[in-house]
Amino acid sequence: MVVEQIRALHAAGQDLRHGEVQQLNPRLTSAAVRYFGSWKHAATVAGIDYEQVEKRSERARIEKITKWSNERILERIRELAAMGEDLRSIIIRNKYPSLFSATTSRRYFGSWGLAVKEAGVNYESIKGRRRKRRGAPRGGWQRELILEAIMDVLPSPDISARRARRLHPDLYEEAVKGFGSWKAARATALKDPRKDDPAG
Amino acid sequence: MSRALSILLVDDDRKLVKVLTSILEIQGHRVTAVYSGNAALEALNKSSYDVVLADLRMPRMDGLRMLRTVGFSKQRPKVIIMTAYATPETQSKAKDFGAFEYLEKPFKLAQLRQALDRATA
Repeated sequence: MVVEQIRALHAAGQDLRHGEVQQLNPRLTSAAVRYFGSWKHAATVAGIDYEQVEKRSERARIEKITKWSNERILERIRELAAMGEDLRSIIIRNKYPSLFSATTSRRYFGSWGLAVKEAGVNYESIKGRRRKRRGAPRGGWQRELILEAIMDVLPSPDISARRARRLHPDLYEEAVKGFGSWKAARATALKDPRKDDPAG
Repeated sequence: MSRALSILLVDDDRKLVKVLTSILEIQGHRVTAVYSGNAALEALNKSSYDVVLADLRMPRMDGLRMLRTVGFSKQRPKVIIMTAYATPETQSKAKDFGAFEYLEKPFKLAQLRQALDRATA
């Protein structure tokens, strides 16, 4: 089972270094160590050349970083700023991992904030935007989904709060969180102009 | 709704998972909700599902990586990828890795319903 799973990950192109697989599937690495003594040995039994895995991963990591340069990073940050992209580090880390990883490597800027400043973008305003967003109402789309559910999914939008709480506790709870009360959510749904729009 | 489905819902946004689970259950589906790609793979090892509804961006193991691994498993449910970060590149990758559909967030419930119908047609 362990050997089969390692082979499947290998076939899927997964980085098979112990740390990577441990993050992905800690049960698999634990089982491998339990049955084979070490992850490396389990991988070897599965027919994997583990030294090659290590070398290839290191090469890939270096290649990823070296395709960048200080100028290329700054140019890309300015491009993203011009596009109106959200430049908070948490967003860039998820959305542009290669850019983020290169920027924060010691080879280049070592920090995302430093690179953004260097690119001439006001980093303080980006951080300020984050603080502002923390206090702002969230979950706009989830509110929309709740309204749609009340109008189109429930057998009738006229369902009472008591009944909604009993039959659909999670939807009820989120509606109350989003709109203040079930009654308010239902009222918003009933006056929502989308209900007259056949295209939905 | 065509028929009741067994759905594995994977998204790290817990509030969204709660809302979608509730909606899908009201529609008559059986939903298992998990919050990471790893948990999804574990769930797939334990049970079988008609459809996996997975977010693209998740910490540690994202939807694409999960999709790639699911592709090599014995059980191959139809996978619908959901994302707020749609790019032609991720869309094409998702298709290459075997995604059945690609839903851009925010989507309408009607779009989700149609995607589920197509997945089980």
